[in-house]
Amino acid sequence: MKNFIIAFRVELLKNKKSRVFWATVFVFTFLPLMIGLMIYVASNPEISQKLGIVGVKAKMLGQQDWKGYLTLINQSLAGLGLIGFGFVTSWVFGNEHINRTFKDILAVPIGRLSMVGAKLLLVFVWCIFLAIVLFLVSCTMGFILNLPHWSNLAFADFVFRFFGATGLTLLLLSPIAWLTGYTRGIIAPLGFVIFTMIIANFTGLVGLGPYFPWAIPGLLSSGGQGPEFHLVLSSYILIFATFLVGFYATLKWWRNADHY
Amino acid sequence: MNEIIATENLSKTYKEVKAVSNLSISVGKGEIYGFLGLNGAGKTTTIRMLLGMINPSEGKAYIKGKQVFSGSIDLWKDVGYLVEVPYAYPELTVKQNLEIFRRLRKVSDKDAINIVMDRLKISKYSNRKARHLSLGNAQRLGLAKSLIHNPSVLLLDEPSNGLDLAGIQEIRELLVDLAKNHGITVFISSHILDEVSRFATRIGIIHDGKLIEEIDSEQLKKLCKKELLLNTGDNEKAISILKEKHIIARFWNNFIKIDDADLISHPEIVSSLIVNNNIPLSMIKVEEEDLESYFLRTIKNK
Repeated sequence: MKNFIIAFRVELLKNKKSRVFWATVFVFTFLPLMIGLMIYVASNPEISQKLGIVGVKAKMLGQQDWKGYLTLINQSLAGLGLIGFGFVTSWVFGNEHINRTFKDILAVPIGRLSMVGAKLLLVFVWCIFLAIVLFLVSCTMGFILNLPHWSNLAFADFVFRFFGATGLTLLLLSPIAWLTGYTRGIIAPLGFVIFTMIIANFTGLVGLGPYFPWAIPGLLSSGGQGPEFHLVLSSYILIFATFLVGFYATLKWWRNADHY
Repeated sequence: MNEIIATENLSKTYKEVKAVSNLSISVGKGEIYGFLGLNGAGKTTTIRMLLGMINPSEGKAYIKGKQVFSGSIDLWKDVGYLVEVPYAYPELTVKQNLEIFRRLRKVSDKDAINIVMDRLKISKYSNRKARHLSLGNAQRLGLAKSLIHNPSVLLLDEPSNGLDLAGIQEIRELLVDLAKNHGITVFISSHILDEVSRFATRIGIIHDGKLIEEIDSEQLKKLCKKELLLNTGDNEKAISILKEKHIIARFWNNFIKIDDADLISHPEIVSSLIVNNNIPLSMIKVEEEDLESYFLRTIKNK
């Protein structure tokens, strides 16, 4: 445990001055601001007429009230979570390869398992922080826009789906950690994230979403009606199994692969 | 000999390429073992196997009597290393980079950072970001990372890369001091053969993954070829006079070359003979083969 704590503190030190951290915070702040702006445009016909195509797009956003706004935020989380969290994972695990410092941390009296655990914990802490930023900025924006029809029930449903989807997305990050190591870079894992998003959309269309791990957080956060949106027990088992397989593969790679 | 680093038939095969083949070496406490070879000879693969970064296909590696494997943890408390080009976290300063390794090396004394920076003469760059360091200073930072915990074993892969002549000399003196005065065992790989021959106590030559020769530095001096070279006002006449005295001499690049060991030890015999025959002698010198030439001759013969 002592080794794990040392490794985690070292990871915090490494990323304390990272520009990447602030870049991710910016992206997760920017998105709700944009959605809020679109809602504002859509709810003010005189502005939307002046803005032409932007105004038309804004009108397509649906209801301009709290429920519609929170649904939009949750739908955005599905995509942003997969890409944003995937990027954070590939960065935390991949920057050692980009900086070519990986070999320097392999033969130190901390142990590789603690290293992997510490990096994964940092990814979780970082992603949860981003989710909280997204949540707080979204709520603040909603209040600034003075959206109508506040509902405690709708907000509770939003909170459940938002943090539920965040938690499920975190479970999908371990395969990215493995792929980052296996390919010794961040390009392939980012490609993998985009690929899984495409497949997730496809499986959602054909009704197989609840059985494809990368589609599951999106199904929970979007809160759609109909059987194709309902998560079943095997959905949770699948997503948890994905985490375990990815975590085990990452540990195995760090410990047993040839690091040349 | 108190064995600190040892390998037993250590081998590594990548698909069909044998990068290292049946390597058995033993390095004692306080020795500086120069591990020499051309690029691609298997030096880095061997060092990575000694550090548990590459799994041997066959054989075993030991450090301080403990077998090296990827799950080793406590073993690394006493080992410092530098593998190939040293890189650091570019956005962090020299001091912050060393702070990371102070923690990873479990060094409780925070002053260890200042001490090692002074030792490697990088104190004035302590607040400079690693990405702004020159290659030489990046190399010093890499060495500082490997020395911050005062290891008793040092594994260094081409540590002179990027250093200027003064830097190379400083590092050489530092390593000699560590080995002689602190009993630290140094395993150093290099392709700068002449440089390593100046301070290594023993030298192993690796070629095509095989250890082809292992020699003490004293022995090396004896093994390196010596030749007597001379130049005179009339080299043809000088050769014929030497022949008359049953001395085998030959032309080489406008010089006269003599390989006779006795005459190499006593060049005055040759000089008197030439001068007494009224041939002006413009140059006479004993030329000793350096390690570079010895190394190239050795691998050519294997």
